[in-house]
Amino acid sequence: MKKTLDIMTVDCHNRAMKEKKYTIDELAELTGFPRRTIRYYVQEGLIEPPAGRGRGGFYYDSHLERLRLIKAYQEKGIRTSAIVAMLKEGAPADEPIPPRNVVIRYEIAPGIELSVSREREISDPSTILEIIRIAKTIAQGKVKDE
Amino acid sequence: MNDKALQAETGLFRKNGAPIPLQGVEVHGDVAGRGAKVRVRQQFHNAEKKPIEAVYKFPLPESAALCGFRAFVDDRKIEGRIEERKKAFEIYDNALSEGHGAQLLDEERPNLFTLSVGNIKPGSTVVIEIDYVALLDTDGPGVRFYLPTTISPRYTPAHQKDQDGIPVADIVNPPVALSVPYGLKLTVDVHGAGGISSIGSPSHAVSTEFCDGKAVVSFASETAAMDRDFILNISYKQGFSTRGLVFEGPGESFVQIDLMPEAESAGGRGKGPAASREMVFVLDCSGSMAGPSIAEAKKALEILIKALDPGTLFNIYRFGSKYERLFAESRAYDEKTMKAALDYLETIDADLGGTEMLAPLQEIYGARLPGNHFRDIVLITDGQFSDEASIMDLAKRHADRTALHAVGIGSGPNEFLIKGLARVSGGASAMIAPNERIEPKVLRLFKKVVDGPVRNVRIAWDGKVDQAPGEVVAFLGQGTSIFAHLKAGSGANARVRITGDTRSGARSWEVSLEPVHGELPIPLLWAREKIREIEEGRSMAAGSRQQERRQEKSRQEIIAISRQYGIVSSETSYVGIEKRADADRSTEEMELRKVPAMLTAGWGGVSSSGVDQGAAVFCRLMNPSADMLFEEKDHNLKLSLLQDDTWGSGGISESGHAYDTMKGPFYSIQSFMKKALPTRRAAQGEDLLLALLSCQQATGGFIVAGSLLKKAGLAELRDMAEKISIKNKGDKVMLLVTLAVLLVLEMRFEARRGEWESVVMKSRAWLKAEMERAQPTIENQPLEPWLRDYLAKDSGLKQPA
Repeated sequence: MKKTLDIMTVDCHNRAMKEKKYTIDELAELTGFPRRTIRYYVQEGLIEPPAGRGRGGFYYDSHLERLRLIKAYQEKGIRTSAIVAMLKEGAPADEPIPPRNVVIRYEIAPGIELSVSREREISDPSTILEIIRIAKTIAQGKVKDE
Repeated sequence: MNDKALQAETGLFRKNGAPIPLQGVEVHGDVAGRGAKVRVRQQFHNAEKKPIEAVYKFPLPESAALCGFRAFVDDRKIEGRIEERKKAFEIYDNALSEGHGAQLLDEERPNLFTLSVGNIKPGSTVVIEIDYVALLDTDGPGVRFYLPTTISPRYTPAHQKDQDGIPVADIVNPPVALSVPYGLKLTVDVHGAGGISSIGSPSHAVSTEFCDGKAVVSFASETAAMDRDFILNISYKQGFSTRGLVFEGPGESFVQIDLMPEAESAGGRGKGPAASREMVFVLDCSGSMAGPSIAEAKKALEILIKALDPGTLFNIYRFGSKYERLFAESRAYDEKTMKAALDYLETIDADLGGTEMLAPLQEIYGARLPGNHFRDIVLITDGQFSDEASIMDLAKRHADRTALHAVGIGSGPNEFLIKGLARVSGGASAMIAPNERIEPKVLRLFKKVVDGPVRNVRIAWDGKVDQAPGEVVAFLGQGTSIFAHLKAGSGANARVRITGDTRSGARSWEVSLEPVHGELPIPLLWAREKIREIEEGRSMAAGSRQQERRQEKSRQEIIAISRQYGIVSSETSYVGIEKRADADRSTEEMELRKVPAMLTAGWGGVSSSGVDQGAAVFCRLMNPSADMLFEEKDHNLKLSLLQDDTWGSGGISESGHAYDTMKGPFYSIQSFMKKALPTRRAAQGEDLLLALLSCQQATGGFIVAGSLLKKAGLAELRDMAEKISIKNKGDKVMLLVTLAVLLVLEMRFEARRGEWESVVMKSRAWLKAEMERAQPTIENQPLEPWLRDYLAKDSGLKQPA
């Protein structure tokens, strides 16, 4: 790990000579992240601090790529807390990991379950509730009849 | 021991060695009638060699209109200004990037704020001053001054999305510590001291002095630990009545109507007969409720269940990471189901982990509700849940047939969620601090549930007005304020008519608008209410273009009102810049210092008193040596009475003589917590009212054990029963005892009618039917007048102390 850091430092110096520099405003515009969020990622060690003196420093393409990667993960439905763990622990970060398909299970009656995807539930909760209600009525109706 | 080691030991340093920059918080409040004006001062100091950015998350009352923000950097005063939230951050960030100092105050929730104090130079001191105005809760003749001091860790549910790519948990939760080096100093001036009948804090030991017509309240000790809400209960000799006030500005005026619908005596039913009501009790059993909170919540539930009307559909849910219920679907209340409910209650504990509130509520809201039924949900929780919006949205969508009544329990419940849920669903709410007696408050809440709200509250305005809130949620015996912005000039001395429907029929109130000047900030209170209404009226459902446009319109409206009136909102922040001369600017990277919050007292069953940070569970037991009034083996008398609490602690007596008292000691009693239903017993001569109410049976009749009758001076009732003649077969003892209890309530406990009236409604019905059927006589006289005379002559139940 130490070695990697050294290489990166050298790398930064080399790049500083020729690479494009971005202000935080430009970075925000290019990635769609608010400035507050970028500062938060720096604080949390999710991206490197800006180069140069203090807060007013500038950012490189590597920052931009890193932010775009985070964005890609988020768009796949991965939460930032998971991304933090993943990127900090050095998990392979080239290929965004497909998000878990979140399914909520509702018990209609013992032995009968209804599975609803989280997306569907969030987008149309009233229909889902209605389906559950009707399903339960059917299941309970059977019980009552007996 | 060197300085640093000493400081580390005293908690001045955080574990990583960096000192905590917050040195102390000072609060001064002015209370006049139902309003309060408060100034909060927070002092930060940089004891490090590098510049720092201090970030401090703190709570305020959810009703606060935050109207002033300034910083004193060493001795330089910097006045903050309102900017759109995103822009405010950029201004702050730019200033820091250029080496200036800056301060930023963001509203994360209506009751949760983040303060960032940037670029504090080494050795420098920054004092932040925050002003707010708020209306106090009124209930009967009393008001409640409330100041939260710490943020309890809030549970973030799995479904809650990040906010702009930042995890919500990091937005709402500060780091927590069991002890912190800063504390709270407080003074509250209560004006018009002549009108005060009692004043006291159930949360803190306070001292009260009288001077210049004010009651000046301060902590008995110099500073208090910031691990619990501060509560000051003030009762006035004269109860509040409905009034109207008007503030005249150039070309516009602002009106405040304080509606105080008088309590109505028992009679008809709120929403038709009991059979058309469903009551669902929902109990938070998450880890944060462990310790005193869950014990108190169970106690409250027990009383409510005993007071239910036969035939009412009811159910109990409890939730944590998962949830469970008593019955698969709501059942009609009778002796058997009541017993099942009380047995169920005994077995439960706060052992269900997280606070997944949404799923059980979705199931309850989704369950079939018979056509003519109205559903009441009573939710008992500390509200430590970060996704307030989803739940409030659910409650709002079902408000036409379901009211959610929320009870906030513990040393630091989430006031916004508790009151917000009630507000959007037309329900009632109550906040109960650990040292406050649960039963009276829960019984008063239950009365509101039974009475139902005052419906269709309308104000007949002259001309065009912007009223906030547009839909008024009001309850009998509780103060509710309605504000209006009148575009055209004068409304002074005009009479305003307010109408509404209570269960007894149409009611109206008429007030004339009294002019006020600077003393009451009506425009600010109107603006706060207006902003809240827009914020809570916004739909959660995202998606369509039209909805997006509507949301953007709401956003712009909030920003406009917030700027115009200078109060913070969800869309705006306060920002201040301390411009520095070139030589003074420091662009060195500063260290981020997050100020840890003190863990809420009793949170998750952990004592934060610092006495024992191990696994021992602490519980505040006020009067452990109190005489035992009831025998445990007697099932009917298995009461959940509280000890006389510290309601009057550090208070004043009616004569105005000030005194201090210390709070009760902590007792480490693990076994106490393990008991399924901690049963605290009343000391002799203590609350006989509650003891009697707990003897009610599912049918409504009373069975009072001999020991209680004896202690209460009613031992003769037993012999008396022998002498009664009745027409048909029946239980003479139950008839006599029930009649006696109801008479005693009226004759001796008139002042506490609000607590018992709703609880004995079914008893009245039962008694009426029994009396007609049995037509009891004693010594050849009808029983009722005879017993009334007997009780009037005889000491009977002793007057409550």
